[in-house]
Amino acid sequence: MDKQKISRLLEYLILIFGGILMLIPFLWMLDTALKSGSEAMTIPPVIIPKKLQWMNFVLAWHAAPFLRYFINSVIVTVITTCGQLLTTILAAYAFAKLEFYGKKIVFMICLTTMMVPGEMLIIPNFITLSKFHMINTYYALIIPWLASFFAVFTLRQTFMSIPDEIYYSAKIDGAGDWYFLWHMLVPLAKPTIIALAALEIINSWNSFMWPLIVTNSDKMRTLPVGLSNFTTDAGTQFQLLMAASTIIIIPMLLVYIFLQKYIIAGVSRSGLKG
Amino acid sequence: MKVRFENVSLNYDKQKEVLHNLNFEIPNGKLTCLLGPSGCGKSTTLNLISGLLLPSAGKIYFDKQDVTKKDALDRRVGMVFQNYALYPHMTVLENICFPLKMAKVKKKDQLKRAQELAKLVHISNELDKHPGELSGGQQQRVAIARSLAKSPSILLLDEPLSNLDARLRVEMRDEIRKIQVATGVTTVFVTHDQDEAMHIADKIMILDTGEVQQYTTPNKIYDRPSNLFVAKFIGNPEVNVIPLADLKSEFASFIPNDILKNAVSLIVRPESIVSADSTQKLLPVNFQGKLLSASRFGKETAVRMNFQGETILATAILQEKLEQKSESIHFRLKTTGVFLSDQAGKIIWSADGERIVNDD
Repeated sequence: MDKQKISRLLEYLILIFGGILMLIPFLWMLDTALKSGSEAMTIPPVIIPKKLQWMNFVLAWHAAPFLRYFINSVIVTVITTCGQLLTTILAAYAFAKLEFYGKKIVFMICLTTMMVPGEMLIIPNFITLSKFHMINTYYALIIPWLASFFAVFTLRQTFMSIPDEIYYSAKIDGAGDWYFLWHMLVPLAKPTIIALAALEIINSWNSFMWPLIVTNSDKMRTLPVGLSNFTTDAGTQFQLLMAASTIIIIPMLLVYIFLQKYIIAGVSRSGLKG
Repeated sequence: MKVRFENVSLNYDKQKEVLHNLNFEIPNGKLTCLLGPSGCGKSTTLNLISGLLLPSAGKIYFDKQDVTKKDALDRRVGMVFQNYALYPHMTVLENICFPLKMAKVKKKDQLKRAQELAKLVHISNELDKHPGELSGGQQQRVAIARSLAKSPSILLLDEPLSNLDARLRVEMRDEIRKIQVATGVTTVFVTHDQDEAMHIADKIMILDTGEVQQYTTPNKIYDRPSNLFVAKFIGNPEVNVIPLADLKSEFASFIPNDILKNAVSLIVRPESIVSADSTQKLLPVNFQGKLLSASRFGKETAVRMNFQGETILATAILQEKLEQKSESIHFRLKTTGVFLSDQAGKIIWSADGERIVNDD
């Protein structure tokens, strides 16, 4: 074996090891979801359950108003993602292609917000929303996430990579700013925009801390918060928790599978060819 | 469409003046080149014509109409950029049709016009492709077709050939000239390549540091540069500039004293230095230089010699003269391509005898 082959082999071994490491939690979740209550608690853990408990999925689904949670999650995720994309596209356009008074300062201020840890924002956001009497409403679940400067920044970079000459050309050809944004920039930045959408869908769907804090009734809870139903004073029913978790992540797996090529493309290149 | 600049100035951020008080007229139906080194203001001037930039002071006229405050769309200009600026997500056909679509031209007429233009620029077979699938030359053709779609009042080309390789550049240069003649559209062409400008233009405007240095026909610019900058910028290899102080007596016999008094430098094109026994029309002066090197590149010769402490280059000294291997070379100057300039760099005397007038 020559040197190249050995390094190839090593490369693959490292990647396979990394892949397995990433998969273990998922497999463990699936494994636990199929165990009986006592098997799930045993130490040392049982790896292969004696009898696969498919009923766990049905039990888990009926253990709490999961349909309600599911609908809430969908509503919040869809509106948050669409709203955030809209604000992102408009703001990124302004920062990338327009000239206005104070642009640099506004940009710097926005940039500093990226350095504030999310946890720091929980209390001020909570106080603000409670003053508006919005706690335990969709507003509370949606409004704080309608703008993300991370997304604005990313999209701005993509917009900036699209040459100004295209903008001038479009102007000379008779397209206004609004037309240029939606018919030129947005289609050209499609990979980035889809990647940002996918990241926000996943973020919003998985969000736990914030919905837990701003909701206090089953009517408004989302799926991740609903999972806490399986933890009671008497302990946690791990097999049902894991069964419910499995159900919850399926939509995200689908999103990822369908958008994977865009997510990777959006992260790795600017999205403009030719 | 005739374009006229009247006292046009431009400054960015109210500080640095980029263009100083430009006054010129671009003739209708001709191809005019804006030529100069980078940073001279030629692209800025083009953007002022297009309406993408508005002047800080002065007025711009298209024929009799004042367009100073009008934007690019109102001025109906067509523009081609160095990087072509094609819309990457549209096909070639959609690109060419785009200005017509924006002008709400009927679909059928759009197609007819696009096919006409595609034929004119020889891209009829590429209409369904995306710009990314085309070569640089083809992309340039598409950009030209798109800019002509609306039958523009004036066609503006901003360094359109700079992204092409050498051979293609010559081909596209001639192609642009052909298209310009065929359509008769008033065209302004920005370039930093003097060779390109000399070949393509009806008139050349040479700009430097935001001011017009000279504005006339290509041959006149070559034969009668108005100042040292133009003389140096046009012509390859560059002119020889020799201090005149110690040579004045040689010239006294045929140059009026009032001119000679102010002259500071002798400017000589390399091809105007010939062997002393040449039979061409020559100036009545004889010089001698010390040979430094002599080489031949195909049809070209390059003789470097030391003359009055300067290294000068001569390209018209015959090969057989060099083979004599003598240390010193006797040479004379032709009656073309020899100039005197004053302290400020202005050319005040030209060897071909006519008066220097900076007109068009």
